[in-house]
Amino acid sequence: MRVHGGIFAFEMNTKGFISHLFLLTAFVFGHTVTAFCQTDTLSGESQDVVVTATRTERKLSNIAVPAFIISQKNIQATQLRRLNEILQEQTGVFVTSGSGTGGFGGGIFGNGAQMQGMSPEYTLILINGEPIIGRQGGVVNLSRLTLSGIKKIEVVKGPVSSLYGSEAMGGVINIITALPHTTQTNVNLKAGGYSLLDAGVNSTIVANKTRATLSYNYFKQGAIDQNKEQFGNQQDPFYNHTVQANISHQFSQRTRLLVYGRFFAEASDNAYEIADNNLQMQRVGGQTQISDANVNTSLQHNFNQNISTTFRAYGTGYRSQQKLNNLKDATPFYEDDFRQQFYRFENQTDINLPASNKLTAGGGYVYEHLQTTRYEGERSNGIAYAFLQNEWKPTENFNLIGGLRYDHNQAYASRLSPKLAVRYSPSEKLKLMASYGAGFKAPDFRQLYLNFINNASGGYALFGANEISIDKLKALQQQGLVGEILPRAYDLAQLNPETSNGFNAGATYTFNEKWSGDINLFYNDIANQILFDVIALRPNGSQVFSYFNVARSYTTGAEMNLRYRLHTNWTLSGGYQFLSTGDKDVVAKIKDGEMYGRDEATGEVYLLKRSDYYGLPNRSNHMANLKLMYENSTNGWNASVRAIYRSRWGTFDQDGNGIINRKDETAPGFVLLNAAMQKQISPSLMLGAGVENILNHRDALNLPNVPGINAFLSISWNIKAGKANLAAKNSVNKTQSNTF
Amino acid sequence: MRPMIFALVTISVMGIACEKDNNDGDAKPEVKLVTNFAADTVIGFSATGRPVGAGKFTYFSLRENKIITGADTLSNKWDIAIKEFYIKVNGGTSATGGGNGAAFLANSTFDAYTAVPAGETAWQQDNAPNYAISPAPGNWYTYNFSTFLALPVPGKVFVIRTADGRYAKMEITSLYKDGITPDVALSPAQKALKQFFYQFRFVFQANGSVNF
Repeated sequence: MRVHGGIFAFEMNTKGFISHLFLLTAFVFGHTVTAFCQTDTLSGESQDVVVTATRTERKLSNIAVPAFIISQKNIQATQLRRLNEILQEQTGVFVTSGSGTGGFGGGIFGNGAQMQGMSPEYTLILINGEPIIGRQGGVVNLSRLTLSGIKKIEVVKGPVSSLYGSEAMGGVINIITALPHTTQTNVNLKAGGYSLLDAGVNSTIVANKTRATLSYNYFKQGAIDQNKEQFGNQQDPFYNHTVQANISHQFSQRTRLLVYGRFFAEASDNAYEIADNNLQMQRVGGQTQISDANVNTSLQHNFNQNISTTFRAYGTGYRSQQKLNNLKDATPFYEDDFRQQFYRFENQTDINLPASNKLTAGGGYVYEHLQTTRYEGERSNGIAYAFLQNEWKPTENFNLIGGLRYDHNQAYASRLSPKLAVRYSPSEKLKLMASYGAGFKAPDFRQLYLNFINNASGGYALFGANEISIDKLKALQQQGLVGEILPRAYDLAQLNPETSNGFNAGATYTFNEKWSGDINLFYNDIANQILFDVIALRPNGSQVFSYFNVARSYTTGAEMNLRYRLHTNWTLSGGYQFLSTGDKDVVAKIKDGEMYGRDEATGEVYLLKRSDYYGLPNRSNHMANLKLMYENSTNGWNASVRAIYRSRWGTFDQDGNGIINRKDETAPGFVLLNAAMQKQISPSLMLGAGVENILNHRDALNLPNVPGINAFLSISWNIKAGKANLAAKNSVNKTQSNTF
Repeated sequence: MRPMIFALVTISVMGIACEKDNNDGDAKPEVKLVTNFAADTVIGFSATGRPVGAGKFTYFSLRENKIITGADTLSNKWDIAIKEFYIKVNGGTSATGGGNGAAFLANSTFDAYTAVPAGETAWQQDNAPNYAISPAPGNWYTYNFSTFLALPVPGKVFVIRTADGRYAKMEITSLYKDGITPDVALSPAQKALKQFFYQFRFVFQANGSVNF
């Protein structure tokens, strides 16, 4: 596969799309839905409906767990184009390039989402309810995902493994794609600084019982090079193509088929400077290519008012290849090929039971396969699972949800994940909620199966936990392949999933027509975190590593949002998160007087106090945002100004104790200021412009992916079949209230 | 051209005036500081990028405060020897003169560690392939896989018994040239080139006492 960076390309775009809720769950058709809509969704726009929190459609105001929606309108107002860009503007979400699990895992694996202070490895990323694979260093690079063709993004914070199993440890981000109700075509272009080009086309055809949307997106971003003295870039230039197809076919009033397909291909041009065997610096270059494809089919049927069922079949594949050559003589330097496949078959059945109970039961089977040059052989794993959830809603202002999921698999310990959530609304204005949820993340393939001894060059050896044991080490020692066996090796055991227990309690309050706000307190207890450690030494002195369930940590804090409608057309909103985190073993050692630090200025060693400890790396105590939105459908203008603040955060240890305790081990806080505006020139034409990072905050070391100040221009053209095109926003609103 | 690091090995020794402690009547021995102690410094990289030295230990006498070379490295004249992260004592399987050297790590600041407790059970001797002081990361140094920096763990005091039964305490304060941790923005190779130039301070108690 080779990806070419064409100059002219089209992209599908969400602008002007009339949205329709893309349903993945049951409760879809017929009378069940009608009744459901009347009680639960009719009063609000369909964009206020959340499917991710319970796997069934629920009005956001009835959800008992912390959740929010990024609407299509919000995406349009910011004119942002990639998932990482829009997520970084949300309260309590930090988009980070580092994994943040301590000293291990640097900033090279792209952009992941940290929520409630939990690492990006613990955030599950879904498209239409099905997982995106291809984690590098544990992180799904969110810049792989275009905002084009998206109806909305649902975000649920805190553990939800009771519904989603592995990876839903810190939260779930579910991208819901658009499937409009009218035949139309949109052509869109955005160009800006750092050679940004985002272009695309998308087309929807609505026939009698079938709707289909086909879209194409091209995205290109030039190099970010903040240190000109050093060869190479902080972020290499990349370009990608996304093709998406979304089809719905209504067989009857009661039966519907949904098919979603996506193909993505990306190439980035790499150039680094690396020392060779004689310490001469060599320049190497080449290309990294990433591709992934997904096909997601679901068949929904309503037996009657009370029973509906959905069958889903999902398959996805991911491939990443890197090839580097010496730039001087074109000799091969490095080659890597990584392939992963994931298949899932699932059924979910929803039943209305007497006494205001709604039962959701489901189960399925996952097959995962991996093939890579990083270690020999092919690996696969199968997971069978079942889940059950009941919602008891005796009155309109109270509901209680209990859920449980069991995951059984071949390669690591099985897991039971419970959930309990309660909501009570004493009045129209006030909602109180509290929840408990369990989450887990299965050991990944490298943690289980890596088997890598570098005999040729006398390098280190790294074993997955299933590949090594104390007996195997002793056998290797007898063969002379291993020297000293360290005491740590006697702890080798089957890996358990990493786990979290999350507690949330919060309230939302509508003061009046102008003011509304919410607050949520959270505590996440994380255990069995998997890190690698040295188990033995090779005769030549190099080290042998394997993986262990070692670390325990916590994240706790409070999140607040406040919205104020200044005027019919103006809205001001602010969000704030306070966060406190820590490694529990470190906290205990400090308490026991066993942790020391080294003074930055004098080099003297001193005993650490609890207040010296900054907590887990890559977490800010304070994060805030302030957004001013303007929207006027009569004159066709919309605009937004958004300020995103993040306080000082820990980066890396400088004094050898492995923790963050000195100011020089932190990065300075910053504000990102972004603005965008758009004008509807004619019913079919929209022009836009904006400036990002207006304050030009740059930090090559700590924020390598954040470019300096840059501006952009955009144009969007809509063609609709049939009647004359009204302002896009009006038709969006109109159609939304007509859902079903 | 390959840097001739080993040819240029120098150590600088600085005596630091010590305080008199009148309580026990003994004059406290001097604190000695050693910088740029070249302990198998990097002369190249393996194909995987692993820094590689010549694979040789550098031997040191705490009593003499100097590097020991030649035939003396096969005697009781050296007390510790360092190669990369490996530290030998002149005892156990590493003994070259029938000595009884041993060592252990104490959790303390350097100044606060004033005496080896009577009946201390932490003493270890080299027992090939194991070392008295484990070279595993996290024991007395950390190696960060994101920054490629090796740093001594603060609050670790090396308590050493020499081959001839004298006692010393030692603190490693840096693993880099001139005792300066390289700027984190430097490349891994640039950092590795400055690595394994030990900076440490020690107190050698020549009179056989366990007090420092």
